[in-house]
Amino acid sequence: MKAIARTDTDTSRVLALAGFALRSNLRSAMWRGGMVAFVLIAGFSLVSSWRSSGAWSLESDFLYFGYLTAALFCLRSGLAQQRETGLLTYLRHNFVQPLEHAAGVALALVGNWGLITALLFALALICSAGDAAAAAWLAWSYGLWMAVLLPFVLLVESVSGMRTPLLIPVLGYFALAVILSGLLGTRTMMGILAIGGDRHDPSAWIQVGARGALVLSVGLGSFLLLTWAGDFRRRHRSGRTGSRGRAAGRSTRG
Amino acid sequence: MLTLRDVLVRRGPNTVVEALNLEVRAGSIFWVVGPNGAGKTSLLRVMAGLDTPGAGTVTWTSTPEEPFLYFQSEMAIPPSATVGDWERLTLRVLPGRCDGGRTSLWPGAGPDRRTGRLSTGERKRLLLDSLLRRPGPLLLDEPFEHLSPDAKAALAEILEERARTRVVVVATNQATRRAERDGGLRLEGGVAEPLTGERACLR
Repeated sequence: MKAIARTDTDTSRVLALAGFALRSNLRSAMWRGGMVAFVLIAGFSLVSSWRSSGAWSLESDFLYFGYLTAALFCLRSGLAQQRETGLLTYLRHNFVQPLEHAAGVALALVGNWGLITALLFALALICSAGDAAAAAWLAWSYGLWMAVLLPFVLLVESVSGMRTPLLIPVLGYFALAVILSGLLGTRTMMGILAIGGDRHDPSAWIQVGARGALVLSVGLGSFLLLTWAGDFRRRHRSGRTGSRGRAAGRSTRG
Repeated sequence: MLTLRDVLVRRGPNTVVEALNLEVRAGSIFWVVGPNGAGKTSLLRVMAGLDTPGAGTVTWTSTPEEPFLYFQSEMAIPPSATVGDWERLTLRVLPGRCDGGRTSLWPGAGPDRRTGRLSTGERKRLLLDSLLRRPGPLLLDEPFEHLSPDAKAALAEILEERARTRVVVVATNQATRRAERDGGLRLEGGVAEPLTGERACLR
């Protein structure tokens, strides 16, 4: 028995939901804290590099740590918060289809990721004194590494109210890296997990991009499919003819 | 019309009410009254289709253009969102034929004001205002909680107007004269009894 009569998905509602979730996140204290931490770590990286070698090095890990720190604080779709405040039920029951809502929060998460990765590019550009190719490589490789974890962020937010939903996928990722490294060796592990690569090699760009895009699209697609399937089952459970009585309950909409 | 036939409502291992037969029609508000823990929320969730009854059937007869609407007192907007964010979202997700204007419940506030800085009552008024811009039958769980007297009066007026032509079910823990007048259901100790009222719709 679903309240919303329309079953078609409206793109404008999806965009409105995405905008709302993204703006709510951007205005939060955790977002601001994550951005400040990112800038501070990048600044530390720059100062530290200049002091030791007179120039910033692309091999410096601090920008990666800054990016990861920012993502841990900032990367959220809003799904968990809306679920915990009851807003999820309010929106899905009264205004939008579950699939529209799911698409909206997924889009908000991707937008969130895009903003953090854009800041990574900007900071890398500053740290490298304007080396756009180096900055682009960092943003591309780190960004698409992070993109692989986005579907898992949605999964964590679907079942938990954690304020840092990226933490679980990151821990899982590193645990997987340790296991693969132990089983297959470090080089093979890095190949499987698309870590590293030569920025001067075009195939490395393609490999990183393809892997990230594939996992992201499959992951997000699975999330939307599960949402649609859950809603389909709920709607059609109401129309199922079943035995009356204590064993079976039924809700129908005439 | 909302029809319940031999409905069994459970909350965990406890039975809230069983073998409930009910028909709710438009005409006046249908009140579900009972103390805390009586199972009003559980019953409304079953009516709304959010939970499946343990037995029996729940049937709504409504038009596709006016699906029934559900509200629960604990619903809230993320505190970091602003009033402007919320109003933008509401206007974009309201169906085209709905009146986009505010009800008397929400007098408005600065668009940059964070919803986290509104009082509980104000946040609730904002949510109810958005909901009530849509036509359609209503299922409201403790809508009057946390509201100021003027907001309660405004909400009551809106609900009474809506109830003339559509089903309106309101759950509350306070039996009022209005509830006694309109009729409904009293839930207590696993037993459902009709409230005295003009409409005898509980069988």
